[in-house]
Amino acid sequence: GGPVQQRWRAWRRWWHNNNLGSVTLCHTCIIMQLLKPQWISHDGGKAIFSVDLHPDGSRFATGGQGQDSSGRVVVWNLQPVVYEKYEEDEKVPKLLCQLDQHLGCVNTVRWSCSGRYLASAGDDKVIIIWQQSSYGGGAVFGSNVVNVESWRSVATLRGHEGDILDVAWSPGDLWLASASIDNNVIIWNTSKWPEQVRVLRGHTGLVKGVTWDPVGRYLTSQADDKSLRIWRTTDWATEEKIIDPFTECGGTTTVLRPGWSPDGQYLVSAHAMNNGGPTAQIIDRDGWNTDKDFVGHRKPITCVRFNPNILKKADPTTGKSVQYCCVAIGSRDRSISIWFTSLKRPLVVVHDIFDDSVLDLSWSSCGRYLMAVSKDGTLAFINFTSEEIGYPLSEDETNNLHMKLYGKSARTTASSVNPTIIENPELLRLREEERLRAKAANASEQSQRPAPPTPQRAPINKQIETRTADGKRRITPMFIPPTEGVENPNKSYEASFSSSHQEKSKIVVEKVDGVVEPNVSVSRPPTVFSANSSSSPGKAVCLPAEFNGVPAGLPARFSKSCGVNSEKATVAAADVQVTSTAVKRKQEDAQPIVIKRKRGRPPLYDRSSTPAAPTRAPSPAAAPTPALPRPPTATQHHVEPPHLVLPEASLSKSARVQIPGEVSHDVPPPLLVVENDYRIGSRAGVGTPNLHRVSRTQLNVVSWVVYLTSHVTTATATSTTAAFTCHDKTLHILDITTGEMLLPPLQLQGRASQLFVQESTIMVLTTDATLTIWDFKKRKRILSESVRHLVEGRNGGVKCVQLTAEGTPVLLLTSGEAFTRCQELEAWLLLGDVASVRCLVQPEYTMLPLCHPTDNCSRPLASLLHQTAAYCGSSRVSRPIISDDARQNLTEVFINRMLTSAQYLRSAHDYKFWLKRKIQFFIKEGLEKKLRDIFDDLLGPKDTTLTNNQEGLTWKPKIMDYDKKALLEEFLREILLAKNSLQLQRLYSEYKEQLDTTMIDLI
Amino acid sequence: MAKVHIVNVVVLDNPSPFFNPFQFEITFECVEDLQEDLEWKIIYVGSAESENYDQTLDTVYVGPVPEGKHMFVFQADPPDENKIPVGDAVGVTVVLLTCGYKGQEFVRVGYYVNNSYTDPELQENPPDVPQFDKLQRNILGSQPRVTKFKIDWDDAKDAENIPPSENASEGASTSQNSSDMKPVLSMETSNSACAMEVA
Repeated sequence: GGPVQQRWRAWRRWWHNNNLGSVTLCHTCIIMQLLKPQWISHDGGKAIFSVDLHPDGSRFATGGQGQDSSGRVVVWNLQPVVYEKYEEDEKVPKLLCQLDQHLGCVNTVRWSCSGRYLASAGDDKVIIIWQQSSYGGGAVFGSNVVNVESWRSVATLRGHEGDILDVAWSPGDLWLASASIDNNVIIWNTSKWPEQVRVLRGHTGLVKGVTWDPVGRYLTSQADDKSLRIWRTTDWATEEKIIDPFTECGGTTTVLRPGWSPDGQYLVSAHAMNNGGPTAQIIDRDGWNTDKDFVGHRKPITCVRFNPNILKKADPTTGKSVQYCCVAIGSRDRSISIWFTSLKRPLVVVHDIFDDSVLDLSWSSCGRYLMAVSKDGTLAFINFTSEEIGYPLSEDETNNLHMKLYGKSARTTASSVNPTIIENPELLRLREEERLRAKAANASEQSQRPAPPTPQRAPINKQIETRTADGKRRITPMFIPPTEGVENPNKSYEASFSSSHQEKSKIVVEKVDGVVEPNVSVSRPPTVFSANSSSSPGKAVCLPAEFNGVPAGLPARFSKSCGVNSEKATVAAADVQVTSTAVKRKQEDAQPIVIKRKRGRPPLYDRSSTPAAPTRAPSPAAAPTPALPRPPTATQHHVEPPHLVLPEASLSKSARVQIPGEVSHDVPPPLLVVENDYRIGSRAGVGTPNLHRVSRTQLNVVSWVVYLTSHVTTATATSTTAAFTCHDKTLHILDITTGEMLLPPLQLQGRASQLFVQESTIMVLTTDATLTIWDFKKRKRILSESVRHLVEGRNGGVKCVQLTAEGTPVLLLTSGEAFTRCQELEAWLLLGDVASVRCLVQPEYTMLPLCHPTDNCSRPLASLLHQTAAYCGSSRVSRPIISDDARQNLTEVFINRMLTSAQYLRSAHDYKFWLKRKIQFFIKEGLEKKLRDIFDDLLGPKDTTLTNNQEGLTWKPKIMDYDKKALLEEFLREILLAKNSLQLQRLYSEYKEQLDTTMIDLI
Repeated sequence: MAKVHIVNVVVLDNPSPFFNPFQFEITFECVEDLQEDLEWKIIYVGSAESENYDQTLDTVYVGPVPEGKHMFVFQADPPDENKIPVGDAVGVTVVLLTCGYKGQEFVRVGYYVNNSYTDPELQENPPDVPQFDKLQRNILGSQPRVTKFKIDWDDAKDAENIPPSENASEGASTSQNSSDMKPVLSMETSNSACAMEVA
């Protein structure tokens, strides 16, 4: 059985005319093996865009189209390609792993130089870095493929705004470069995913290929803008822009992958033109001369790949050893040519092996195997003999050659983290100091800080089921721990095939009583499904006989039918449960603020400490202060009167609030327990009014109890006071230790939506959006004001209200805005920036500092903004497309707003943090002028003796409690850490010198 | 890139009587900690003719979902037989297992389901009014049809929904490839130092 493997050998004769006196390789005859393994295909013939052989020669990867419009990466075993006996041996796996995670065609796959990682990228604008793991493997669900190996993504790099066409690892794997149709090249830091070292802007057309020189000094990119750029890795500036050979080129190739010779002497471009004919331009490293080219292909050249070895062989006539490089060129004319730099004619040209354009080439590290892939979905393999191709120089010989030619080699590049030329010897010392300092600071910070709570892992032997308020189940799945490092070659893969069994599930289901709230955001707008779907093959599958006569409409149901949302259809099915969902949605549409959830009953207490929801791991996004109530949700089923702008707070049947105070490890903290609809005894008669109970409990010992006749809607506690509100618009303030009422119940002017207590200050936000603050000890109203204008017209409601350490009221909205009230202005000020801006700006500069609860006082801005969802979100959001200029501008404005907010809050820590971000931002963008402006201010007037100078008078030596000069000294170090341009190094030296002079003056 | 991938689904208690609950043992892998719960659904297609007869058998929230591999059994009650058109009770239909995140469906697994009488007598002469208690349900567990949908996993507005800009040149290159090869550029007109052999 099985498909017939078509294998064929091509014996071709090539000869060359030795009239130019070059070395003759083989007198008349080239013997090489050419084959096209038919089993290498993507989903039965989809285009293969990229191929790369693993450095250790064990396997290779292909990338291209998968099912429908999705992408596919496949890792293959090389042995069955090279050796016929393995190809026929069914025990030798051919496909090692199929990775279908890319949502768009995969245009490039590249192994890192070490072979440890595989990078893949494509039309879905992301780069995925893969690493092998022993965790997993098995069948690919919904297909017939079995993965023998498991490759897991260790990083997903987002940053490009368009399809990515090429990636390249630098020598020594220091950087990864990616080329995209967004006209940019991004340099990624391989030791710190997903950090971007630099975005190389300059191309004005789609960038279609990148390659590094073998010692890591230059990077080359070729683009549709009819240019090829050479970038310096020292400062990421353009070393050379080459235009001449490309002026006649049209953008008719899918890719333009240039190549750099392993001796570093020549760069060879993809598609160039000479006298109207397509060529591959040879660019001499010495002066970037372009007077030579490879000519003969009939259509544009798509890819150039050098044999990774410098080769040598003896000249048969003179017996002298000759060194040369070997390059393979692939073209849209469907042919491949292979050239030696020592020969004027190609070693061999292979015509007509593909039915469509050649898209990528790859050599093995031994140098004898060459692979080529084509848009026609096939792969060709060429096996040369050492006599033909030559003998590779050893690694030492190559490195020595590089050292001789360039003073550096791939080895030295790899060992030095910082390849920058240091102009100033002092910089070297300072930089080392800085490195040690950073290390020490890091270490001390880690030891000071308590370790973050380890997220509660899911159960590993059972699943836990709870119920949500609307009766649905919430399942915490069984976690399958990875078996990292445990190799199990005899693993049976059959077991995980999609199948069916007669027996029932063996998974233990633990049902837990109590109501939980599902962790879903219901307030989202109706889903917009992307029409871009990928489905498994519906074709050529034989159904068992009993499934014959499938109704015609059924297969269409496997994917969503256009226009008709299945939810909509289920509504009409008169299913009670589903219908109610639909009604709920309608209400949301009409009054988005009033009702967020139907019967959502969030527990007030810290979920992880309660038996009702033991399954919830602390959310990484937001860790609310335990004393604060969760965002409220409405309980109303009726339509709200129009004057209510906020939902009334609600508590579930029972809730606990941890009472703050000294933390002891032996005794659990005391709790304020609210039990609504408390049943006294077992015989609650019909006429008995519902009673609700509030108590203080520690270790199951109740110290005081209060019974109420109205439902408790919010509750909070401080170390001295307990406060709660009831549905009957009352506010109760009690002494926490005795349960004694400090005031008779206070009648609110509306139902409570938010409650906050700090020392003797109490803050209530009612459903009509009136915010009132009292000092209950002084019996004084501090503020009563409508905040309706802040809430209305925004998506979502109020997340919480609170007071800063200075006693300033703060209002946090679920949409991400934070407002603070300025007493003098009697107005509310927006802190930071509106949430919508954040997704537009460059995330690396707008991320908030890590915030620890103990920092609350020292960093009010950071701690406030941390509580609003928009700032806590992942930095890895994919961002809408806006121009780079606009993004740069928005980022600067964003940082400036943060600075102003920090200044307003008089938060020195926050101010310094954002000032540093600003400087880092300017350094990365290379905005020297703006850096100078900041530094000049920090440095102060140049001549301090001229006190009558206007500047000297107005200049203050301090900013927000910080000494400006100390700040300058610190910020100057950022330049050192940024390890980039020469230009900024000079800036460093300039200011450092001036700073040192002023310091001496002061002494 | 999707954050959640279905590793495997095993259909359990299959085949079984019509009124037995559905049981799917689902293994999925998550590449990074999820902020919200997943929402899984089992939808029974009552009739091939119209989506109006679809029945959502159950909806469950699954969470929290940290990075890693997870497994759970999803059991749901059988469909309400009163809502199945009489003509569609016996024969082949479809059951769908869907999963959504933040209200967006990102994967749909479909199975063919065959409902048939086990009693040869009934097979020969099926009653006019279907006898559901005599029906056996057989799910074709070995042939799932998987459909994936691109969704917005993060809270970014719409970046993923912007159609990729078309590379117009690609089409051109494909069409040109089939055209006849032009004669090879002759050596004389080229000032190139290297030239390919004229075959």
